[in-house]
Order: sequence, then structure tokens, then C-alpha cells
Amino acid sequence: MLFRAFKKTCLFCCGLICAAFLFEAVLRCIELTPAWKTLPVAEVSLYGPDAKTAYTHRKNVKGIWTTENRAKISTNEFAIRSNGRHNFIKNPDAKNIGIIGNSIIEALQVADIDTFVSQTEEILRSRINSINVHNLGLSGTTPVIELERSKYFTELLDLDTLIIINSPANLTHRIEYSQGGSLPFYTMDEIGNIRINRKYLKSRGYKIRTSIIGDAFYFLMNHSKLFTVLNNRMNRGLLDELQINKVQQTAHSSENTNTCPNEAIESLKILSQTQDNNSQRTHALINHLLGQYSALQNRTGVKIIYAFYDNWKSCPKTLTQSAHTALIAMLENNNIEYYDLKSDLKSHLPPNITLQDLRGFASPKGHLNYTGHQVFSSTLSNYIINNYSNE
Amino acid sequence: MRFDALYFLFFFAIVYGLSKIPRIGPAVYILASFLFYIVAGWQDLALIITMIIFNYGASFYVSRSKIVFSTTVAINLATLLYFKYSSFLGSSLGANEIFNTQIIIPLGISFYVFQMIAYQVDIVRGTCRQITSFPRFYLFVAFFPQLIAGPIVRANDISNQINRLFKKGQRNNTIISLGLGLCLLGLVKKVILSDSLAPIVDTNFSIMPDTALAAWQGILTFTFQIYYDFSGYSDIALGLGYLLGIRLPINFKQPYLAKSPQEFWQRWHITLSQWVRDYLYIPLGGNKIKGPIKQLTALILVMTLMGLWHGANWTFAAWGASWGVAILLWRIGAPFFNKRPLVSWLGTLLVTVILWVFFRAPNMGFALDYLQIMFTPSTLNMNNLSWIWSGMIVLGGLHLLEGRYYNLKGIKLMKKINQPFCWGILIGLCFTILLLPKALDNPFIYFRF
Repeated sequence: MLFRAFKKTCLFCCGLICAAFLFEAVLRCIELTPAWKTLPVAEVSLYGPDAKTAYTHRKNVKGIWTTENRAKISTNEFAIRSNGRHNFIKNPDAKNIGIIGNSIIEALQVADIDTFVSQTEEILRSRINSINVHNLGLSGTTPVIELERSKYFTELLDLDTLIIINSPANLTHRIEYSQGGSLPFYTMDEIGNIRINRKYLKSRGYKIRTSIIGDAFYFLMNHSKLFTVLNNRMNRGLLDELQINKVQQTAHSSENTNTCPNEAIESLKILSQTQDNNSQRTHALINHLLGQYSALQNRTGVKIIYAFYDNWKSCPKTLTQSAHTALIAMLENNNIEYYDLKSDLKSHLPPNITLQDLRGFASPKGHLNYTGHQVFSSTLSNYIINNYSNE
Repeated sequence: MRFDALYFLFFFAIVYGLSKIPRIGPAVYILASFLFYIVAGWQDLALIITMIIFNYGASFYVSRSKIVFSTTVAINLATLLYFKYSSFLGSSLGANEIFNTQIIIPLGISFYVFQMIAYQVDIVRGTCRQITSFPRFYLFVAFFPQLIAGPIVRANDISNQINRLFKKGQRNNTIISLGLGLCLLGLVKKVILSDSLAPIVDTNFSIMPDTALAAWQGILTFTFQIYYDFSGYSDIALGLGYLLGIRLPINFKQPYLAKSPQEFWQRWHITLSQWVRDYLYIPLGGNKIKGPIKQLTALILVMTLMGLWHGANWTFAAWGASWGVAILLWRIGAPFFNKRPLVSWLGTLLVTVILWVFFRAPNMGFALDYLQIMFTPSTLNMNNLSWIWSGMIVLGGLHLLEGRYYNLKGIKLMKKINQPFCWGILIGLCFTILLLPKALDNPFIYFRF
């Protein structure tokens, strides 16, 4: 009786294992055929833990991104988005340009060769001999993570030029990211040292990810679609379906209108005022941040350009003008070049296309679409050719 | 609750486990059905319980008094009209757009109201026995696998099974592999196929396609999406019922292989078609009506009402009425079509696909514009569409193959492999499919009706 029950249990478990292999095989078959564009696939898990910035891309990961728009993407041996080539070899004679910023630069919604970084490289290569443009974008990045990544990649890739693409709101609001709990947040002390909060580094999740178990899980994720699905599901929550309606309601309520967004107004006020304590503290922190970039510039010889893409379209002009002036002054004081990316993009727009048309795939909101990447690459390559082709 | 959610798997595992405990099976089913519907909200729950109590009480008197019977049916219909059609009727016959809005009508109301009306009529006709015990009647109406989107069950179909369950704790012999196999088949249809097609359809029906090819692609995609969605739900319902020892009626038999519009309705949402036939069409005279004009009128009336059953929108009325016309045309052309089965099949499929435009379009204006684009010649640009068209061929192939396993042979095979090893594979596959995260909230389409 007991033996029969044991035998049945063993057979049942064997069946479960077979199901896992079958599911793995089905997912792999889907990825091998054009069906990956429509049928369910395991969304690639790109990120891993990092002691300095809490998370970063993992090296040599390949897979399909499914959110917003499906695309085959990969990272290279430097743990940055590949431009479609995996065997990048450092060449001391080559010019290296890095473009850093958030998910707009990271551009997981399009294939490696369709990102504006990759396209910029292609345009520049047709004009300048031996040039590489590196995609240093990372989703959800904050100004201090960008600084940390800038320091690291400038030396690793021998960058000659570093273009930081940011919004003023991101600079003013996320320079000090002090959410509590076990989320990663970053603080910068008065001499510019950046720290992740201890609570995050001590959290169970972070500890597991940096342990042998974490290594094993990342190994399995690199080699198994089932584990990738499992990881995605764990990240979203096992009871995900109960939460979907709430998420949709939040997304709906945050849709913007034609008025100046609250975040932009606050950012403008902080930049244009210097009287209140909050503004003073933010100005001091921005100055520290820019000072760090300036030091990096002096130490390594990299040319740093701060490109701004603001959301000030419908905001009061007096505020935007004084904020612009304040930003330019802070950059000038630290010997960093200012680049008004948004104005330049407007001048490169094809006929009948607006800035809003550059974003979103099926829906009108979201990350850069294919047109967006084309406009960004032509704008940036033009700017680089006009300003730096002689250097 | 939704069958395609991981939490439902855990819920069902608990229900199944508890139902195995001797003598508490019926109580577990009743409690599970209650909990299953609670997720829809307290108001919906209050409504269904009120309706069950009312119909249970009325069932003792309907056969004695015509007035009681008429009042009972009228109250059931009035409830449906009020909750489903009041905004449609109230706003000077404006339409409800059901695909782009949240579900606002009480969940499953169209299904359980029709089920209870059929029950009252059957009692009066003497074609079914009255269910005298309230818990049994509650289970007959609210048995959770079929509660929200059918199949529309007749008392004759399951009252004996429920009685056996209550009396002796006996359930039908369960071939676990068959139940699990049906659940897996339903999940594949819903999660792998239907949900994958949903974004393509949504895009096509939110922005008017600019070429005939794109318009045909959009509606063909919807043709498969709705079939895999609804038949997927029905397969899971059948599978769950089977696992719990209650056999539910089949709702689909490869509808896109039908060789006439009439046959289509014998293969598509079979339980609804039978309901309409038995409680609407035949009482109106059925096939005995003489004269093509009278026949046409009766058919259009019945089919329009069936169309409106799906939703409070003129598009559904147009969809139903057009089906009425199509059925009559095939009847008139029977001598021609009977000799040419291939032409008849292609014609039926074409009619089905074209009429889905009314079903899916948000309003009549959109539907007519969409149809106009479908029949406007345009240049063929197959660049981006070729893989979608290839997909259509594959989906059609899968539909064709269904008959190969959805038959007695299939059941015998499942009986043969009814072993723990096979259960492991089937449960494992169901679990892994449910693990796939959902980027969009795509409830079963028929939850909206």
C-alpha cells in the first residue's frame, strides 16, 4: 500500500519534470520561429545586483523584450546594450562616445541595431573613421547612478566624449532619492560620495541575489526559459491577476493633459529660486554632482556634454527662462557643455511629425518608437559632426 | 474569479482536495461556488442569490398557475433588461461599447437568467423534474465552472448528477486525465492563442485600418480570437466539471467547418442556440411557419434577439439580424448548396467572418466604414503582414485538427493514459502556462455578456 503510494508520487513528480521540459521546449520553439512576435515568450531578465548602483545589466544576456513592443535584445561583455556586435575590441586609435541616461536611451523596445545609439554610430562611421558609440542607458536610473556609471565606463571604455541625456525634473527630483524601506535609494554627501542605503544592501532579496543561490539562479535564467518565466512571475507576484485592475486605474489617472505637469512646476521652482532651504540644498547637490563630472573630465580628458530634454512645453515662460539660465550657469561654473536637445530635435523633425509622435508603439505614450530613434540619431549625429568632427 | 489566473489554480486545488473528503462534497461545491462569485463583488452576489431564491420559490407554483409562470418569466427578463439594457434603452437607444470599457453588468447575468427561465418553462412543460431542495437548486444555477459564461445548462442535464451527489455522495466516474486534458486545452486556447491575438485585434479596431488587406487581417484575427477565447473557456468549464464529477454539455464543435449558417449555429455556442430554438423559435412556429416573408420575419426577430443577448448595442442587433437573413438565404439556395459542399463551406465561412465585423466594432458607423475598407481594392503590401497571414493558416490548421482529438477516440486515449505520470504532465503544463505573466488585462470575452 505504502509502496504503491510512493510509486504513484514518484510517477507524478516525473510527470511534472517532463512538463517542465516540454514547456521549455515549446518556449524555445516559439523563439526560433516568427511566432515570437505574437505568442507568449519568456521576457529576458537583463538585470543583476551591483554593489555601487544596486542593480545593473548583466553581461552577455540575450533574449526577447516583450513590454510595450517586442524586440530581440542583448548585452555585451561590458554589461551594456549591444549595438548588434558582441565582439567589441578596444582600439586605442578609435574615438569612443558614450551616451548615458534612463530607459529612453536603454531602448529595450527596439532591436539592438534599431536603437538611436546604434544608428548614431552607423551615421558617424560613414563620416568619421573608427568611431564607437556606446549605449550606457539603464532603466530607472537616477543622476547619482548615472555619475557612478559614467565614472566606471569612462575608464573602462576610454571614452572621449560622454553625452548625458537627462530631464531637469530628473535632476532636481531624483538627485536625492530617499524613499524608505528596502527599495534602493541613494544619497550623496557633501564631498560627493554616493551611498546606497544600508537597509537595501541588508535586505533578504539583495543578499540572496549576491549569494551562491543568486549566482545559480542567474545561471539557470541564462540557460532556461522556464526559470526566466518563473523569475518574471515572482517579480510581478504570484497573485498578479488580482492587481491588474489597480495598475490600470493608476496608469489611467496619471495620463497628462495639456497643462504644465506638477513635477515640472516643482522642478522649475527649485531651479529658478535660491531662497528656500529645499532649493538651496538641491542646488548644492547638483553643484556637487556637476563638480564630480568636472573632476572626471579633468582626470580622464573625456568631454562631457549635458543634454537636456525637458517637459516644460506648457509651463510659465518666466519660470522656464530663469530655470534655463540657472541650469546653464551651473554647468558653465563646472566647465560642462550644455546641449538643448529638445530644441535641436524640433529642428530635425520630419514634416507632419510632432515630438509626441516619436513616442509609443500601439499606444500614444511610452518609449521612443522607430521614428523616434531615427530622429534622435539624425539629431545627435548632426550635433556631434558639427561640433566635434575636428577633434 | 478567472480560470486563466494562477490564484484560481490554487483555489481549485483546495476545492478538489476537500471534495474528496467523504460526505462533505456537496457542501464544498456550494461553498466554492459562493466564494468563486464573491470576487465579482457583493452587489453581484446579492443579485444572484436573490434571483436564485425567487426562482426556487416560484418553481413550486409555476405549473399550477399561468399567472405565476408569466410573472416569474417576466421578472427574470425584467431583471436582465434592467441590469443589461437600461442604459441602452434609457439613453434614447444609445449603445454600450463593451470591448473598450470595464465590465459593468452583473457577472454572468445573461447566462444564469436564461438558465432559470429554461428551468421554469421545462417544469411547466413537464419535461424536467422540479428540484425541491434549495442547496441542490443553488448548485444547479451557481455551480462555479459554468456560472459566468456557460454552457447554459438545462435541469435535465445535471439535476440527476446533483441528486446522486447529495444522496449517496456519488460522483460520475472521473477520468482525471480527461478533465485535466480539457483544462489544458482550454488554457492553451485562451492564454497562448487568444490572448496573443488580442493586441492585434485591439489595434485594428481602435484605429481604422487603411488598406483592405489590413482590414481582412484584423477581422480574421478576431475570428480566431473569439473562437479560441470562448471555446477555451468552455473547455476549461467542461474539464473542471469533469474533475468534480459533473458532466456539462459541449458548447462547440469546430464551428468554422460548418457548411451552412444553420449548421454554424449547431456548432457555435450550442447551448445558447438550443435555448433560442427551444424557448423562442419553436414557440413562434419554428420551421412550420409558411411563406418566406413570415419565415424571414420570424428568423430575423429571433436572431436579432439572440444578437442583443450578447450586448446592448445596435451592432449586435445587426449581427443577429444578418445571421437571420443568411440562414434564410441558405434555405432558399439549398438545392444549389447541397450539391456544392465546398462552395457552401466557403460561403458560410465568408459570411461568418464578415458578420464578425458587427460583433467587434464599437458602433454601427465604425462597422460600416470597416466593411467598406474591406471591399475597397488596394495595393497588396505583404511585407509586414506575411507572418500574420502564415499565423492565420496555422490557426486554421489547429481548428481543423481539433476534430481529431475532440472525439470518442480522444476520450478512450485519455482513459488509457489515466495514470499519475500523465496527471503530472498535465498539471505541470497547466501550472507553467498560468505562470506566464499577463501584460494586459484580457478577461474572457464572454464575461462581458
